Amino acid sequence: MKYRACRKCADSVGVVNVVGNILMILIKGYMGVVGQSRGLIADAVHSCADLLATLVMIIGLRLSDRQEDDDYPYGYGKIEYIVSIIIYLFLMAIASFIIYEGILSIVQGRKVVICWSAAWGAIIAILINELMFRQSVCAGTQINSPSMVAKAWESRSDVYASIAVLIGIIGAKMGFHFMDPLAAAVVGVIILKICIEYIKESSLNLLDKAPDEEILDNAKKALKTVETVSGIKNIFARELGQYMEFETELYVPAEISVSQGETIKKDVKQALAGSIDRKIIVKVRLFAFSDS
Amino acid sequence: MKKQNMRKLITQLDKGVLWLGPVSVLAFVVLLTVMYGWVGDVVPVTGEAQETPEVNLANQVQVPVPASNQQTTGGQLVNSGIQFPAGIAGGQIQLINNPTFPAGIGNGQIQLINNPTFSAGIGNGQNGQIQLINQAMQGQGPYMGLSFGEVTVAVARELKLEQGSELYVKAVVAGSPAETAGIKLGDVLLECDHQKVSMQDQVGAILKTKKAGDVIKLIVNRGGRLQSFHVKLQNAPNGLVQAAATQNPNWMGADIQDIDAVMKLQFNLPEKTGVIVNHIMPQSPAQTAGIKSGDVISRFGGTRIRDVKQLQSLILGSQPGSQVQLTVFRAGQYLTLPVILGQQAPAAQKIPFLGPADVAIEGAWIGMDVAELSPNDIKSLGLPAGTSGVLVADVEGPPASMVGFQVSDVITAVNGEPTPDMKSFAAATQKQTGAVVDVIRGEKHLFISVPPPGFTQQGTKINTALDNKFKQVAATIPVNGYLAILTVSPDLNASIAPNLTNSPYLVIVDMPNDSYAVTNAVNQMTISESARQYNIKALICGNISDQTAQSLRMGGVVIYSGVVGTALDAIGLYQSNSLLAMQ
Repeated sequence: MKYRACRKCADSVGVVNVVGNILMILIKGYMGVVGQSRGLIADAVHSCADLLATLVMIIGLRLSDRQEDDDYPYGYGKIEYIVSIIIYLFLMAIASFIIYEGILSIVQGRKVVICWSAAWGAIIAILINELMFRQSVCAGTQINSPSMVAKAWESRSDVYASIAVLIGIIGAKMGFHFMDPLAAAVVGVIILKICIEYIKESSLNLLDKAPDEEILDNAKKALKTVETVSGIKNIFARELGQYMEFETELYVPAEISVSQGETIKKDVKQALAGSIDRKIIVKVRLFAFSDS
Repeated sequence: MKKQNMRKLITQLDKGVLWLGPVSVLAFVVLLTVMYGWVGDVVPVTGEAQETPEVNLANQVQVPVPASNQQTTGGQLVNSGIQFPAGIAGGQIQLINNPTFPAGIGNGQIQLINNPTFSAGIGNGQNGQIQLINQAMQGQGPYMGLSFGEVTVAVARELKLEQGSELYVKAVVAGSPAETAGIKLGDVLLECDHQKVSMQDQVGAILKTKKAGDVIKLIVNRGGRLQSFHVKLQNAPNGLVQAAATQNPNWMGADIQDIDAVMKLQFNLPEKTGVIVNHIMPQSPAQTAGIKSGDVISRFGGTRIRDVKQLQSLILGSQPGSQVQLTVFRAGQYLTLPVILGQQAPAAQKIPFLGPADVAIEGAWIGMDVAELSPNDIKSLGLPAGTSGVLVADVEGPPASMVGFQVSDVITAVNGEPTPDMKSFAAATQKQTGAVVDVIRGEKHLFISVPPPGFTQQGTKINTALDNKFKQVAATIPVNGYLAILTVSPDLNASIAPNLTNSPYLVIVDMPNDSYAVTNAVNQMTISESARQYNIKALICGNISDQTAQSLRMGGVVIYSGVVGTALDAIGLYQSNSLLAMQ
């Protein structure tokens, strides 16, 4: 860390992103409507999709904090996926409409009368986005958080969408009327892509897809450090909201007592917690190990 | 620490509130989507036909009527609204309010001024369509399909143009290159093929150098904004030229004009659209059929008639010699008359002209001088013996010039009251606000509508560009006044005083400072003194004696006499240079 303020800066990244996104949505939406630019309005919807992802994540956090009850003994971890599937299906419909309308107005050769205020909207959006990106990358590097940097690069693609919109507006202003709806359609495709990605991810998580090999390998390595464990029968993991749930089936010597078994379970939990950078739930089942 | 506090706060938030986030974003997305669909459909183009709010003339007139008159109804009300002297019509502003007139007839307003009658079925040269053809033939080059008219003072002011252009687009031929390119009625052409243009000849000269297939760039002023269009020129279609060559279009022999709101009111007509017959040619099919001047044609066959253009095209489209059932509205009832369309085109009438020097001016009304028709005038105008009426000796300015009065018009009736002499004319014109005037011009008869002050002939209220931005300052402050107006009461909205005898007030307007002041009442004796005292350079009044005018002019005052309406109207006219100085 270069400066003492870096920690504070990194902490603020999340809030800045949410506030920045809301600001951009409002600016793009307003300027788009006032300036009569379809591209900019589509871009505002695009920003909405990003913001929704963040909001759904926050809701997921809140909901999975809720303790499991008698009716839902496994907790509420999966509700996040259902919510995001519903939201993104809805956004998918919107994106299709945007693409359809955009192409329709190109085909019909509608004349768009765009005001320069739309271009300013796009420029402001690009600037905000770029500043947010720089902050994330800088803070991520300083506090040594690759995930923050990776996320920043991910959100960089939003800038490209806004640039496309700006080009569309300038083109339309120059008399190439098809360019603004074209930019809108392009943004629509980007939204569609985001939606499909999120829906895919959420439904796979609903189906308890196994996490990346890397996570399981790390877990196995961690388990091997526990000396009392004789072998690993099986290890599964799944996403459960913000938690990663591990189910491990371990071989232990047949003659150990129940209290020794409990100690082993505790050790295993500790070892697994060290192998991954997030909250975990660990379920351990012990099997008697025989040499045969 | 701070972060933890915030976390706690968020956790404490009710879960219900948490859902508001995504829901509001989704609602916003829906809103955006609606806007998205809406944005593409709206192509904001000014200068396109805009529905002007139709104002019921009778109701509008009702407003200033004193309470004692409220039990009167309908047409009577109009006559009782005496507070309005028939004043500034500002007909020219009508152009802005309702810029679309049927293509092919040209701009109705301009048409009215130049030649207020349309001969049904005959293009008399003033007809827009014929002009288009002429343009196509004269040019010898490719054609655009535009017909131009003069840019009036009011339009120029509205569009912030320099005056003097005659390239106001008053008709666009359907399917022509200009229409394809997007030129619309009401545009004012500024540049053609990268050259500044203001005259029709310039456009013609440019077109001559082009050939069909060339693309030229036009820059027009549309509603105050510059827009450019690319027109791909074509050769004039054969149909147009052939139409011009046709010498014998169908003919009915009745001169017609559009009904306006003033006529509807005065003639108590059931509808505000339709055409009124103003003149019947002798030995014409219309005369044979029994159509009379003043009839309102409401149906041609089974088709309801809305305007002159529609009736013209119906007549032109019919078979010569065919019989048509014409439904007319006469004296409160509908009659159906069979008319057999003829094929004879009459020769254009030459309108005799009587110089203003020949007649003694006996009165003034709405900006024109009138005199009783003398036997000599009847002879020199070639009118039938025994014609009695009031002769228009001089048309000095608005509103008379705008609604279409011309020198040598003979006014035979006002609102249906015959005006055989000056006395009856004065009586008829004194107590009216809006009027339909029967006029004999040459051998024709026509109706001219005079709207009440502040209204157009269509009954819409004039958008006076000038609202009362003037603030009153005390007259005791030495005002740097340049313009003074003689008014009947000490107010900017007061009517202009008709003369100096009733001690009018002097409203002094300081244009650069948007302020005005009111002095005490003045009379013939004191006005020159007041003019000197307040440094008045221009004076607007209803009428002024030669003697007083002489003494004022000695003091360097420019006098605009014969102006009617309110002081505010007069300021507007003054600013737009619509007033003529007294010589």
